[in-house]
Amino acid sequence: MKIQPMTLENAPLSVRSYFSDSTGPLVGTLAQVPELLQRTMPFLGQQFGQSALSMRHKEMIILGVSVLQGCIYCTQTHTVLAHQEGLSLGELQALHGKMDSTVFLGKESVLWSYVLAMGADVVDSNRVSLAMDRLKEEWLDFEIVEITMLIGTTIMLNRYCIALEIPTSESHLVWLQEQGWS
Amino acid sequence: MTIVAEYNSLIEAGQSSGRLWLYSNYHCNLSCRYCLTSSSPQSPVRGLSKEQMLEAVKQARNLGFTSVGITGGEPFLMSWMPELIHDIAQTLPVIVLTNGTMLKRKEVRSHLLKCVDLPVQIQVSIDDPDPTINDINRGEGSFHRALAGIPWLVERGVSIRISSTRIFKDSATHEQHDAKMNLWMKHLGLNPNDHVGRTMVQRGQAAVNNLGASVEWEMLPADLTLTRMGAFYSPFGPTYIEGKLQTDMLLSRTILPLEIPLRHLVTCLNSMDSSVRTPGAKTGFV
Repeated sequence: MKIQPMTLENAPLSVRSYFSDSTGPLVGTLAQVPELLQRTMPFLGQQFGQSALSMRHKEMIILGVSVLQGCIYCTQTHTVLAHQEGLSLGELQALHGKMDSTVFLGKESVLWSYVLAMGADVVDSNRVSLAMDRLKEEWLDFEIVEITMLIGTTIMLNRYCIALEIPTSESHLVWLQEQGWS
Repeated sequence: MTIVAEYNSLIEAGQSSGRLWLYSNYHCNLSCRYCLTSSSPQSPVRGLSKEQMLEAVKQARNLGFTSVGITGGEPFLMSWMPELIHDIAQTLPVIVLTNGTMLKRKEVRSHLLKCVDLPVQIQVSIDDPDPTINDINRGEGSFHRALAGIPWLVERGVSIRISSTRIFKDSATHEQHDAKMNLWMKHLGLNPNDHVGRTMVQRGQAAVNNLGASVEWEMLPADLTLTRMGAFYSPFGPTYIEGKLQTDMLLSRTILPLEIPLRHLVTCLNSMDSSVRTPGAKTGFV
């Protein structure tokens, strides 16, 4: 890792409540700037936690974007989490770009097109506009706002994790290996 | 309730002294065995700028702070320190913690003379009137170097107090030591009331050398402390062990505007059961 994460032992006083024996490197590194962690965690919690958008769709978005952005930590971690949310092996492979995405149907198909348009390294506004038009036929406005914010936040975290070389947890690596994902 | 009112009520309740501490720098011309910040001539400067310190003091007055403390490292290694002390004292009373070795310098003396009528106090660290005992922890020759500049300043009305770090375990020895210090201070022309005994805290270099008392952070004075590395809960917070900052008392990396770290301090204090906190002055962690 490029930045030493804080641990329970040296956790700053103002953010100690975020720490336990199992605190991960994302929280550990953000705690280098306690006031940033204090603001970031509720923001991330709102977007990555339970909300009007289902966890299945959230994991589709996060994993899909992370693969497109080339973030190893987010890809590996969210492959496990997406599986836990019930995504099938075929769906996971589609999100990894290893299988035809026709596995997603109806509103999930247009969601996937939107993720592909928005998660690309260089965003083509015409492509995004077309994907958005299709999205609006299947999804409500407030859902589209959440989806779009989640894509943006995932990209932000992807770049953070790539730059800091955040390592995937041992337990996730073991699971991925057992499933033949490594 | 405004942050000013909240902080003021904490000062009134004895939860904070109202002093803002500024770590001007971390390097030092001595290498004391118990130094909290593991300061030495080899330490990186890690300095606050003169402008940052002045701005912090200006904001501190508006937020209800009642005094300023400057510490390091050795603050007088910063060439602009004497002038800065004079400037800060126009805004708030200031105490400067020093090892005393720079007080003989002309440029330091001339500025300190200008502070005679201002609320400025210079706190010199001398652990014992016996140079041999003093120099055990503070380094050979440090006693005479520390003492050299003091009489001249005292004669001219500069307010000097002596701080001795207590290295004893029992209170009887403390009392004997205090009596010895008081006698010595009288001899120097200093008021014995201007002696402060500080309990050695086992952090920084003291922890490396297994010296001092192990102390929970709740026992330490909750006085906002600014450093180049961020804002801390107490002046005992921003310590270093083998080049690594101890972050357990870190509040925020943002130091200015001062209201930001002050809010973190107030939040911490308000979230604590005040009955478990013992204000620093009562425990000797001053």
